[in-house]
Amino acid sequence: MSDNSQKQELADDMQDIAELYAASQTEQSPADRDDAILTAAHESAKSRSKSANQRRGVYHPPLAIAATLVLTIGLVVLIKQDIEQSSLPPSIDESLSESFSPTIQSSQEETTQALLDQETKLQTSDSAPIPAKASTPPTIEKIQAANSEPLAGVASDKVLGESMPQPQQASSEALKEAVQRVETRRQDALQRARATNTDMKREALAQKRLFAKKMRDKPLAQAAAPPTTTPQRVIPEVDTMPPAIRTAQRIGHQKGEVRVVTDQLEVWYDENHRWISPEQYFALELKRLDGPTYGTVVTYPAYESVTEWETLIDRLADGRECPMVFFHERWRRLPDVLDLDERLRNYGGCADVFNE
Amino acid sequence: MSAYSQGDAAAFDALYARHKDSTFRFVLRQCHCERAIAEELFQDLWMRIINASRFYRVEAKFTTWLYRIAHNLLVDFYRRNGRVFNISLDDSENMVEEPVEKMGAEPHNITANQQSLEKLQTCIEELPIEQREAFLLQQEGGLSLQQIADITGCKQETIKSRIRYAVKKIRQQLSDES
Repeated sequence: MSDNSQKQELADDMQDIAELYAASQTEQSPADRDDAILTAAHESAKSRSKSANQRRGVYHPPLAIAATLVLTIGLVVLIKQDIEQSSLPPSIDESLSESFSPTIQSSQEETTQALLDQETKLQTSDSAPIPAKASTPPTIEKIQAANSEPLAGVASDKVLGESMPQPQQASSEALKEAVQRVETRRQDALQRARATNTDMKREALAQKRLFAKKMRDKPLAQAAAPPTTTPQRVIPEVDTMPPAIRTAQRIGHQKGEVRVVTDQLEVWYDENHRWISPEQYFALELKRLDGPTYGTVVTYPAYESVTEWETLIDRLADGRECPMVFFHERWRRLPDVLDLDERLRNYGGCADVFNE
Repeated sequence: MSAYSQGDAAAFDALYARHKDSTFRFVLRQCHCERAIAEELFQDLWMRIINASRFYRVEAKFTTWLYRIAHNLLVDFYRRNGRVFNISLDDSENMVEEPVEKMGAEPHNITANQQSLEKLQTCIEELPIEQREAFLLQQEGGLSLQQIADITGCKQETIKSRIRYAVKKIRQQLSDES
């Protein structure tokens, strides 16, 4: 029989009684209680919205600070890595294949360009036609041929920084000296560049030999490490791991790991790096939840008065105990909620806590 | 209730106005105690509602939730005072339903005079706790058999029997008096 038909049948049976009851019920809730309840309700609503606002207000600044810190640290790390990378010497391969040649070439080009500029200035001062930018430096003969034409100004004096008492002859001699000096400087610069090139090549070769030797001497696992001269970014994998996991990796145990020593269960407690008894473990976990909220009980507290994550220790009739936590509107075994080992879930009173 | 749990005080006012008298009468009749104590229990009930509103979820009708809390409150009250729910002899789950005609006086033969109204109060007070609770939950809360069964943790058939027997007793006593 359906609920509705049952209800209808029952209603028909007791219609007179129901009418009589409805007529007799004139009591109303007392006014003073109404006031007290409504006041409490309004205050609760007010404090709830206030606390919600405060909570929002409380969480915003730390979140903003945390976000700023993360961004700042990230930027600093990136910048630091970039700086380190740019300050590191180029790799051996790069140095051998590319780095040195452009350096020498550029120094040679700079030197040549400086000489050309000087010569151009000299030629300009002698009113000679400005030669096109030659790939090879002008020879002395060319300059001398240019000097055979009459000088027009004293611009060369400014360039060479010397006075010329006799305009034509003196300037010709001074020009020769200047050209010789420029030529000497050019030769010196070229020699220095060649020497530097040789030194750097030698140094790079030495580094390469040293690294090859190290690689031969080191074991295979270590040899895989990148050479110190290679400016590769090393991702600090270990440093980015949470401390708990790093510690667990270092020690080799995980929180809640269970072992049996002389027929006794022991649980690994990561916070103090110790093997402890399940009772101690449960006690520490309850303490971590600010519990046990209701202590050790035989009878559970009323559901309405319990809030989430409150805890208690359920003592069974035979004296065994099981830690319980109020989670998702139900009393549940603490080891279940913490997803512990099966042996802990059935440890002590936990095996029969739901059977009573 | 959902609106109130989010801080809407006006929602609670409306809710309270709708249910205050019926819950007060339920507590008053069911606690079987002095009026002052019933008032205390009534206030305690609504304070529990206020405090528990944060955890209220729309899983069932609000009335069911309200009367479940009232039921638990009264169970706690009985335990504190050393009283227990007595299972009356005629209230077993296996009891055989009798036809309505055999259950006492005929329906619609009781008139609503002042004397019978007063007598009704006495009859209700004299009912066993479980029968009285089922009867009051139906009359005051307007709850269905299934809802009452959910609140009290009994089978629907048991609730139906309790109400039938409660009505039978009331009718019998009223008939005897008349």
